[in-house]
Amino acid sequence: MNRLLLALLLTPAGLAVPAAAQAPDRVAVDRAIERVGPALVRILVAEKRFEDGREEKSEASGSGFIIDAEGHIVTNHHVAGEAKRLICTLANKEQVEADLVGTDALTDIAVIRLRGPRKDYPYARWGDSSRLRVGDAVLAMGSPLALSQSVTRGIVSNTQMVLPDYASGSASMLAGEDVGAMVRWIGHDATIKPGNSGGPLVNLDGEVVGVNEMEMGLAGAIPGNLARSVSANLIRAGRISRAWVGVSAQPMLRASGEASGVLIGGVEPKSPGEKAGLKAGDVVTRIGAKEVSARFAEQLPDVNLLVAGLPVGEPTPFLVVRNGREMTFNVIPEPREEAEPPAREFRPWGLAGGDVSRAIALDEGLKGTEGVLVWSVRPSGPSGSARPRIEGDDVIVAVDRKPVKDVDALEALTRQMVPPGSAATRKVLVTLQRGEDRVVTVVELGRKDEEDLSLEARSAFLAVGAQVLTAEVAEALGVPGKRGVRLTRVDAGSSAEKAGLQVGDIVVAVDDMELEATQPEQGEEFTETIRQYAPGATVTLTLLRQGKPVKLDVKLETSPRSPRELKRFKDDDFEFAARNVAYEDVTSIRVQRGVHGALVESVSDGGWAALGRLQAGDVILSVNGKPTPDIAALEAVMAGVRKDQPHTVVLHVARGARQVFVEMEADWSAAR
Amino acid sequence: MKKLGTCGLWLAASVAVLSSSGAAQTDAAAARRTARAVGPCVVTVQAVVRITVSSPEGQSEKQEQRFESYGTVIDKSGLIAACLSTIDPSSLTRGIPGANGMNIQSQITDLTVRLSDGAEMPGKVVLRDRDQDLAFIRTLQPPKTPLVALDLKAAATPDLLDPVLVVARLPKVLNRGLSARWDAVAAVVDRPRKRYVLNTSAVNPVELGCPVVAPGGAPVGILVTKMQRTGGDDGTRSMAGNLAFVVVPAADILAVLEQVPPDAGRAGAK
Repeated sequence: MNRLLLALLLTPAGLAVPAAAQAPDRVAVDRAIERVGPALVRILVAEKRFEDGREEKSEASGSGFIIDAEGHIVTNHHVAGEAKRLICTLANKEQVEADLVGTDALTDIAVIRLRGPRKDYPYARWGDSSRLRVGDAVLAMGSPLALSQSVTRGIVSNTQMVLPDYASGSASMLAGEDVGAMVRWIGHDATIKPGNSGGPLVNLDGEVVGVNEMEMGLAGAIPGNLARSVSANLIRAGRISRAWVGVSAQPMLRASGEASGVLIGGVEPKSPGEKAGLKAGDVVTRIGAKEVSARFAEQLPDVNLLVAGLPVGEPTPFLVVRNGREMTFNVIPEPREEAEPPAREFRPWGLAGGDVSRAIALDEGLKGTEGVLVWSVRPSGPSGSARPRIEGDDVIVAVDRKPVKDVDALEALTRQMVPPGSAATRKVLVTLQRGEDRVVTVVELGRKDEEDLSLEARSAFLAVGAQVLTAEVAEALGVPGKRGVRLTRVDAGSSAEKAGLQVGDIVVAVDDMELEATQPEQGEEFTETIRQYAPGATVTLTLLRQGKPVKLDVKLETSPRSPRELKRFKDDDFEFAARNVAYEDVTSIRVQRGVHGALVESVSDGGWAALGRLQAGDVILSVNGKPTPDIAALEAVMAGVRKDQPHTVVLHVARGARQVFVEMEADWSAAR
Repeated sequence: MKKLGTCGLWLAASVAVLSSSGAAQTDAAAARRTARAVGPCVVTVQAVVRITVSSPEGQSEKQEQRFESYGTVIDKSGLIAACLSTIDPSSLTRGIPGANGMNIQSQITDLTVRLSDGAEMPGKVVLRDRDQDLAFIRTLQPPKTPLVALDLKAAATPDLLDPVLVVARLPKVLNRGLSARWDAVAAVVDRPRKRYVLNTSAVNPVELGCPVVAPGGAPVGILVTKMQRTGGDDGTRSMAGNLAFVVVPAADILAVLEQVPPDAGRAGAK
């Protein structure tokens, strides 16, 4: 509120607003925060994703809220549904790990549970989201941008928000499911940011009336009543069972002029709807005992929810109007399966794949659901190296002419052919369905990547830094017209230092071969001249030192090993890789001179090292107090850690010019 | 009239070009024999490179990429010289601070050599020379029959404007067939190291790793890139304007070759 407006408000009339009228609103907000705040949770997730045929982990962060004293937390599927590890920060800053209880992509609701025996967690209460009205004040609570718990305030903008035509079906897709098919969001204007997902939308009575889920101009929350029902089912059964009839419903066409009924846009082949006799173009007016009608998109979720709740296996009458005639069809719903079954990594194959669901078969034009759909392939892996190579969207239908039904079958077959732990490889004939073509290829299962141990060519080396002597610099230094390089650095302990070279020396010739450099871009002339000698050779450098010519004999060293050639240590438990510090790490100021330790080269997302905030570029100085001046020492210490399996491992690292302690916590019992 | 005049100029230019390569035309038969003799030395190298990029904030990301380029057989037992930057482009960025301080590391995880007859053999890079943009590759197994190799010891040392033949292969869309063309030494760089520079506008990047020979077949060297790694006047450190195609002489290749261990790269070798 700007100062002018504030000034206007502070008129006698403005001043006449009683202070008490403002207080209840503030009081209500405080009360709401007080009631829900203690139940707020920030969730740090190490989630799995599949890329290039590998299962990788990445970190993400979201929000949630505790709904019972046992520690069940509601959040979004897109926060926790693919989690491998969940670490919750409670309102009192305590960190507790959690496990996934169940998840439902179709409504984007997941339930997790805090580990441990505690049964007295503060929890939030549900409100009745159906009683919300446009204009009601609401609070969005959560951890935007992974910040600690925050609250923003707004009003309900829309109690039946659906996505616009241009966005629906794409923006609302999650794990192959259209969230918009079941959900009418509560639209509101309380600010939410990435990280707020899964956090509660709260009314001024301190009740949860929604679960914040997305932002598209306005924020959208899953209605609390729906979230409550889904989460209760997830807690009870671990999954949501829904009915499927295989028809796609759409609002009545404007051209029809009809005011009631729901139009069947299409009927899936071999679906319960098709078996019962339903056809595209039928207008459904009653399902079971309930009349149905949808003239607008906002009304479809109700119809979809009704259908999803039908009793599986029991005939349900559908009253339809077809060509002006009323007809009844008894539809026997079947269980609704996941649109996108989860993928798995098939390491001996170098690919990730999943089952073929009915929805995938329909979309890909496949005749059936037998086989394993390839999600992605590692380029250098066995499937990526095959000729022809296996590609994403291929369906593996047979291996050595044995049909492959699903991922379980492929896994069992693979274990038989290349037993885990064995170094054996085996060439197999693979039959693929690629679009409408049936293609065959040969894959060498179990083939491992070649380790790249290629050496780098050694050349003569002088441990100095140098800059080209430009005309202006030469003049300023009192050596006008001279060409060459000025030494900017002489490494301590090097042969250059031992020969007597000093910073400031101007090198004008190497073995009487005069240097010609006068421009900075000619800076490599000196180093390339040196490189042409054999390591160990002695050269005579002609220098100018304080304007006077000096000749020095310098023994050339061998170029230092590049980072790539250095031995590496890879820790699979904490998921990081390290190596010794290379010369170029020091000269590039990646590592401070004199620091002795193991340089962390990479830290895998979502691993314990990443969660402990170990960073690539850190130099590990010690582990649990034991010094690690090099890779050999680090390897030995980490072998001890693996044996003892402590819950916490503390690293002392150099990070640039500073030093910090990094605390890594491991769950040794968790499956990798 | 204007159109006819332009056409006439074009014709005149063509005649000029033809007459200047008249000597080449008369030696076309010999050049063909040379190209066909050297052609089998040119092989295809297919590599998969895993690149890890680390940010100053400590995050790292990996990606695998597939590259295809050409190399020259320099020993009949299956030793090939190739242009390092075409099978591992990240080698060009080494020694240059990346954009925003990113650090790039690379590892070749899979390498296949496709011989001139189409046979494929797995291979391994046994030595890299970043300074000279060379990679030495050895097939994991010795070939069943000895390969046709370029004899680097019988090197030619052409002078400015001397004609040379560039023997290469067409891209896979044209079935990797043999290609050859005349060129000439446009410059001889003496310092800091000897390098031959051909007609810059004619060199095609697909020719990197391919041999350049004198008309009689004596090898001159192999086409590689030359990258300037130090800053310009304004301190820029980038590839634009700092990259050229040069011929690394046979003698320099032989000098580095001495560092390749005898059995390096062979399956089972330590």
